[in-house]
Amino acid sequence: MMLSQRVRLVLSWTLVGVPLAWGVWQVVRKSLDLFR
Amino acid sequence: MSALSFLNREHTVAPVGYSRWLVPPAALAIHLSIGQAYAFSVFNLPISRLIGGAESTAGDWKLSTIGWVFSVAIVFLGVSAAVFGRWVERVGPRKAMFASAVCFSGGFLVSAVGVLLHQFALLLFGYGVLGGIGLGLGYISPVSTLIKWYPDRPGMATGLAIMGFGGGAMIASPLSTALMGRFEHLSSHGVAPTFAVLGVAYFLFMMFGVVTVRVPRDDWHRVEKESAMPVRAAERAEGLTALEAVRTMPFWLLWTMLCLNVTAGIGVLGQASPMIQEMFPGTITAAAAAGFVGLLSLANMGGRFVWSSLSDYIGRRATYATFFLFGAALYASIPTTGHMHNIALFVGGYVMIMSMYGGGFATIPAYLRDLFGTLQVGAIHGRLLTAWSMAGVLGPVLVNYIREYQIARGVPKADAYTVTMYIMAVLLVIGFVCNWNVNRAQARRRAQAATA
Repeated sequence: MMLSQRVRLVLSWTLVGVPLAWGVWQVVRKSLDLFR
Repeated sequence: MSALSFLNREHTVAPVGYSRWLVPPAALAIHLSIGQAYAFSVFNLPISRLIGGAESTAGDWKLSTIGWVFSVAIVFLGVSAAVFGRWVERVGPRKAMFASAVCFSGGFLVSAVGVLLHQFALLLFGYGVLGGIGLGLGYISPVSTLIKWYPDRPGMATGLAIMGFGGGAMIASPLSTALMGRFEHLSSHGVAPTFAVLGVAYFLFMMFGVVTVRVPRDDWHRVEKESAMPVRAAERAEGLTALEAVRTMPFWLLWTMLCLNVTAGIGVLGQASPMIQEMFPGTITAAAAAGFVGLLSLANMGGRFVWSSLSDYIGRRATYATFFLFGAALYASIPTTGHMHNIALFVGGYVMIMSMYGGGFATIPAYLRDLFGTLQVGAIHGRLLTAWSMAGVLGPVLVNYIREYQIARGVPKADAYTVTMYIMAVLLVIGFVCNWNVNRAQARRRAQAATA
């Protein structure tokens, strides 16, 4: 039960975290133009 | 009907051992999806050239006409959050999230047909009305549940979800551009197929939130809360219904505060790119200005989580006092940093302003919980969001019209924002006064209630 709960937690946070991190990276990359 | 019975509130009660840390990702799945609304502008130019191809022709829709789609969506966000708030409280988060997914994704599919047939009414109904209702339902659906799961840290919990609304555009904007490029050879600049793909993808992503979300058991407080942080006196406020709350002075003080904070931020956010180019002519290129806008989006998103989490420690009143006082000082100093040609100070000031703009959105549900309890906090939050709709009109009007008026009077473009900045600072000072009076109004309300 504990393991499956932990796996669910990891999967859930990964599912929302990966797209969010990708989106943030896209913006950070674009923002670098401001400092060039 | 029985196939959908898993949506009912009684089927969403958390089993023993369920981790409350599964609820924020469920809420994020909804908010990251509906946050796409802030990226709708990437479709504006392609939609304005559906017939002409490379250039707009006589039969194409004007940009000003297409702008109505986003405006209608935001209006329907506010209206549906206010109208369906009590229904969301009654049926629970799962059914509300499902309804949001159906409306939001359905809106994309209807819009795809509208673009394909070049019927503006269908586009307006699809994305503006249907999608707007999905936005409103989705925005409020996890708030009440998160507050109940996190009585010790309501600011952090709701901030985490509402942060998703700020982050959704960061995913949607590059994703939509890539999809349109991929489908460009098909038809309509790839807009219709992109709408269809986004509709299906967002539905699936939102369904993850639907199946994951749970409400706490009735006895959950007695079992698990002992290990949580101590609950302060303000957090044990009595519960008011939405109807009762909107008849109180504290509600309207908060409504005014949200309206003023959003008015100040939203107008500037919409004009950020031309503003920095006009205030630093010859120094800031269009690409650098786009980078500035991106930086503001990051600050808006980060501020939602950081400020609302901080409010759990320093209190909601102190957090808003910081927004209004510090914000007013920053707005008032912007013209000076412009004259000094100090880009780092200018950008730093705006980053702080935008973080507090986002923080204002994310901290308000916890403030409502402190004042009105958890009984119908989602519905009360829904009604408060009408302040957003009002600010969505006020902010851009203030910034755009005052700028045009200044330029018409012969003021140089670099100085055309000076008066606007001072007006924004004054608005925030008014917000500070409202915030200062919340406690007094709440004490008076409680005294009246006790007498009655």
